[in-house]
Amino acid sequence: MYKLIISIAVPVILVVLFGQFGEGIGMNIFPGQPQADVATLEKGLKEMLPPIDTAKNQAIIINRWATWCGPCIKEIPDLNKLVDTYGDQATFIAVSDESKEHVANWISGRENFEFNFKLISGDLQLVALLNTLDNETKGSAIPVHYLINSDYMVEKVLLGASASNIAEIEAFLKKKLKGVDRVTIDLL
Amino acid sequence: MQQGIYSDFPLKRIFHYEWARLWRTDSIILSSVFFIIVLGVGYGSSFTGNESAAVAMISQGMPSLGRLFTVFFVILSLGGDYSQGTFRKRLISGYGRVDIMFSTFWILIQGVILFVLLAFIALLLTKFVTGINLMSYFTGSKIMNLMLIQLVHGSLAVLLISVIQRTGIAILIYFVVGLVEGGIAIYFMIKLQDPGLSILLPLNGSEIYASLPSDAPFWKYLPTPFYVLAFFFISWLKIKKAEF
Repeated sequence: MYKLIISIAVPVILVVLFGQFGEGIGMNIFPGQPQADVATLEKGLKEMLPPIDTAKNQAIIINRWATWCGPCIKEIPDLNKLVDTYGDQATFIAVSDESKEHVANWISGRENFEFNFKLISGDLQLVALLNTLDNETKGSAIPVHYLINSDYMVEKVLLGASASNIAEIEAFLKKKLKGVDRVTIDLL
Repeated sequence: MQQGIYSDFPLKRIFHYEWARLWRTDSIILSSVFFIIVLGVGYGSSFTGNESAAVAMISQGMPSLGRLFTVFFVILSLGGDYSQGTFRKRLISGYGRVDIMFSTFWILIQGVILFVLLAFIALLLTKFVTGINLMSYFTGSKIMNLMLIQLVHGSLAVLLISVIQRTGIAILIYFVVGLVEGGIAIYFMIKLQDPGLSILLPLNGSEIYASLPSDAPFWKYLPTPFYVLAFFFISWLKIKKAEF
């Protein structure tokens, strides 16, 4: 009988334990070696993003999007408003895993389309890095917004296109851009 | 006639039988293919020249590879036993049905450990050959996540092969389950605007479960362990009554 209990209970116990002590705790079994923890990944992010003057730019907002993603396109006007309001003191980057040519063709085919973020397309290494930093879906769902401070620490990852996410990005920007008096933008 | 359910068959001999399973041709071929693929992926990602990017790419690819090979390992191992009448012979020689259940569980554990070890060795080799330290993938948390995902997918494999007893059909249904889940996950994402609901699915849910933040609501911790419990329990019910 104990064999049966072991056979059924152990897999469940292991799943519960691995779930509890997995990504959240980040146990290091090889001390002394550089680890693939968040800090290492953030260091990689600094290396892979275009040079940013962090003295002038107190926050970095990265938007993971794609031309085929309806919700991503729908929220672009709201994102543009953030750039209009905070663009002089924060860096806004939009990352797509599609090729540069595809994104350029897609944009040129739309007369009134405007995306005021700095566009990075086809950089699959950067996409993989961002996906790894997205704990919830690992990049399987977009749009995703990464709210990053001037030390390249990812403070928050927001999933999905929603007014509450835009409001949260704005709150983050307001907090980081201290002393800057801004008017809250009207969401569409 | 139904053979005995419980037995005094020594655990040591069960472990011995299952250890021997690792040296069967199909296991060796499967392990070699996995090893070569991880070696190739590790070597390929080293071309990025950026350790963080390479590790991120490995982090993305390893769970997919690990779970797929664990499922193949479990289904091929048990499928062979069903098709060749191994279980029938074992029952005649004093094995109980509970021993078959224990073997099934142990095959999964062996598969999980085997592919983590092989990945470890392959990435260690990559480090020596390319100089890019992909070993930083092997944090405790990453290994636990990988093993968790392997366990959940492997549990489904245990269920499928125990119920269907046919290797090809079991593998096919595993992929069909993946496809159906993918469709439901897209529905959650696009129609309901809540990709987090995918945690309710057995396979997709395991990946969300693997990296739940510490402040996640309690109910999100329930579906994945429940599915694993259900998969093994249904397998036991099937093994208990199966004609071998």
